[in-house]
Amino acid sequence: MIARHSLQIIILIFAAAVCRQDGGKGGTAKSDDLGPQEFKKLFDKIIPKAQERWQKIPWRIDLLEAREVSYQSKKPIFLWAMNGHPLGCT
Amino acid sequence: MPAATDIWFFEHTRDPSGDFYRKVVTQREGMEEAIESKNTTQGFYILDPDGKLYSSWNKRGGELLKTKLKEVLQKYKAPSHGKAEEYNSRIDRRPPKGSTVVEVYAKITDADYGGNEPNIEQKAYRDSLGRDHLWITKAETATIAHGKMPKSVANRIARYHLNDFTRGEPPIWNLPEIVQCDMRLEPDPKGYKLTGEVELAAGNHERHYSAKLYGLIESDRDRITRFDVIAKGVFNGHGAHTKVYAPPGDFTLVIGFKLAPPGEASETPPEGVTDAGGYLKE
Repeated sequence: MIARHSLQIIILIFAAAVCRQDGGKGGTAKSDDLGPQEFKKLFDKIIPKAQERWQKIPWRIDLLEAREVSYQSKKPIFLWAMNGHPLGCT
Repeated sequence: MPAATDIWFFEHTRDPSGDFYRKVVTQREGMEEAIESKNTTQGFYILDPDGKLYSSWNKRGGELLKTKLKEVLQKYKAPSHGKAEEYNSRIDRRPPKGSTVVEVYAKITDADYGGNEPNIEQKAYRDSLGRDHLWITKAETATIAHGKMPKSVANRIARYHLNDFTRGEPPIWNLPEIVQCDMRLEPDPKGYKLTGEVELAAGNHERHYSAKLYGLIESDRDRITRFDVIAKGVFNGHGAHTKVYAPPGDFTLVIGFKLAPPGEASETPPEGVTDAGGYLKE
């Protein structure tokens, strides 16, 4: 009986250790189930289907080109300057 | 004339575009000191092409933006035509000629933030989608188009793109922080199937990502016509600029890749490009 209990405890400790390696504090964090079906599901979820409104603005990413166009069009430059590119990783 | 830029480039370069940027921002109160002390100059600026600053601010909000634009348009006087200086090609951060540009997205799909209901700002950070670009050179593109994954591309994806950029700029992974980086292509009915395993660890596993990759790649002669790839894995840790609202403990981070459409915005340089040579090297 004691041996059986000890075995159960060992199994529980082992299972907890395995879960910790895979999930840790996040609980359900996973990486082991990426096949064709999961790929399609995640791809549909992560990749935007359509452009967002800010993406439809004809941004210039070259400041000197923006100056040239501003001279020609007689319109001011609206500059969005960020640590990390505003159209990219921010 | 809407323009968008990463200020790192201008704050660190001594070329006509950097000179022009500094000329503009130093007209804003306190900015001269900000540049000297390496504080941020980020924000919104409305200027004429000679560099005269009409308005600047660093608070977000659509109504504020509309008000500022209206104010400037009422008083704006366009200067007579001048000529913008040539761009300095040594520090040009455009994609190399003939290269493939891939959009990269990052999203946290599963995390345990504790029991509290998030406020609006926390929810926005938790739901945010990170955006970046991956560059693949012309030669690397041809190699992939013929069914081989170059080590340089695998390393570039791992070091610069398999990261949590959902809340700002994370530190890139250094080469020794790549514990494992295996990516392979196998023939598929329409092209190639990409599979892979990557493990990245910084410090004493203070920042860690262990991910699997799966994707479908199609090509036409030397061109890539499809680059649909997903990386999914367990991430933990954060960088100095990504710690705000970072999930505690492990969380599931998914990175998605898709060929970028043609256009100016697709030429936005990858976050890891402080000079194109380093980003494209390994």
